Amino acid sequence: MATSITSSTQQSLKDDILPTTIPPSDINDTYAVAIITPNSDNKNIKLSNQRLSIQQIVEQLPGTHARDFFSLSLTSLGDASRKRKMIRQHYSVRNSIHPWFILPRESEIVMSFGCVRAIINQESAMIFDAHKPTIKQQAMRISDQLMRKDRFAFRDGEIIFHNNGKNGKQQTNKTPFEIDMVEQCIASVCTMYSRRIRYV
Amino acid sequence: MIVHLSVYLLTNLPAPLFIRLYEPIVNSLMDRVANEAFSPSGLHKLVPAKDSLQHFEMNVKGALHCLTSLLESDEDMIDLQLTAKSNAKKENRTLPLESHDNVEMVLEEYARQLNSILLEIDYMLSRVQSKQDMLALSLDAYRNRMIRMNLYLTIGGISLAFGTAVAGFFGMNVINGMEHAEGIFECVVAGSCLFGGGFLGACYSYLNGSR
Repeated sequence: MATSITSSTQQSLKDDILPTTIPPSDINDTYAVAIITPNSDNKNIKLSNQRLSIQQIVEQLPGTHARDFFSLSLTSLGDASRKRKMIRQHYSVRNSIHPWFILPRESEIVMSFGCVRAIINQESAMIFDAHKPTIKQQAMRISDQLMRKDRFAFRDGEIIFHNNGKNGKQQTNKTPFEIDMVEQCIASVCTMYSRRIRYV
Repeated sequence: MIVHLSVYLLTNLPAPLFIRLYEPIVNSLMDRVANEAFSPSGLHKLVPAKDSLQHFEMNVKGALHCLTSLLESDEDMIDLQLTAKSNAKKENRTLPLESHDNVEMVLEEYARQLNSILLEIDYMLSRVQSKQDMLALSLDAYRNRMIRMNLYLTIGGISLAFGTAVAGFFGMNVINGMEHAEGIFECVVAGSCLFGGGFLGACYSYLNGSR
């Protein structure tokens, strides 16, 4: 059921939306989820694509409320398949506005930022709607960014280094995974918007 | 080549599906529309671009609002630090208010980026809007010119109608007693011409604002 893959841009994006192993009755309750997990040493990031039922998701994320899932308005594999068929048969303009929120919960952060819908906790992050190729790409980009050995960012005129390597000369206090993940999700959406407007 | 293809798609296919890169498309569209100022299709080309930009603006505003509302709440920013929060909970203490400085800096940075994107969208929207206004003005001027032409032709027609009405009356084969009057023909012709000309002159001077 779960297909584990290492984060790399070389990964194939081809993945059937409807796997043959899932019976048709369960498809309406099954969601494609990209799970980003840091290893124990926090130097490597593992990205895996899984198909989970809502029950399994709730079991893995006990701190979330049921209404959070309504707010996230996730698309199950069955709905995704129906939507694809509808778009093929009838043209419809996609004019919906994304819901935008970052909600800190007891042990999780629920966020819907642009196309990224995710639930993040201290050990892992679930990115939903991973049946879409764009979301898969975003998940790969985010995990690649999290895995980079040397990163820096400009903040308030200061260059802040994030050096995960052993020999790094400048090393800041290690940012917790959840903050890093939230930052990467926001950064990926900002970069996407910036590219759309500026054509660079 | 890509830009031309994008503009072709923009002008021939439903917009939100295809507009993804705004700046080159808007720039190219501005040039094309300027060259076809008197064509009504120019307006149609601007509408999809404007719609798509507005949709994009709404999304960026949503993102910015999300970040600013988070920045306004110290409690939420503290709650975002799950690791620090759980460590503090184990030690039976609460996180101090200033512990969210790092999160605040991160969010402020991206809020600034989004604000800058929003400004650029506003600038593009105002460019599209001003071009649309200019096109609407050009079309109004063109329509006014046609109406004026139509009015001149109507005035000319009415002026000629005076002469033809008099000719019609005198052309009837009915005895009126002036058939043998000396110089009456010249008087009638000159009178009707003068009347028609006077009407034409009066209308012309009224239209040109001298009266």
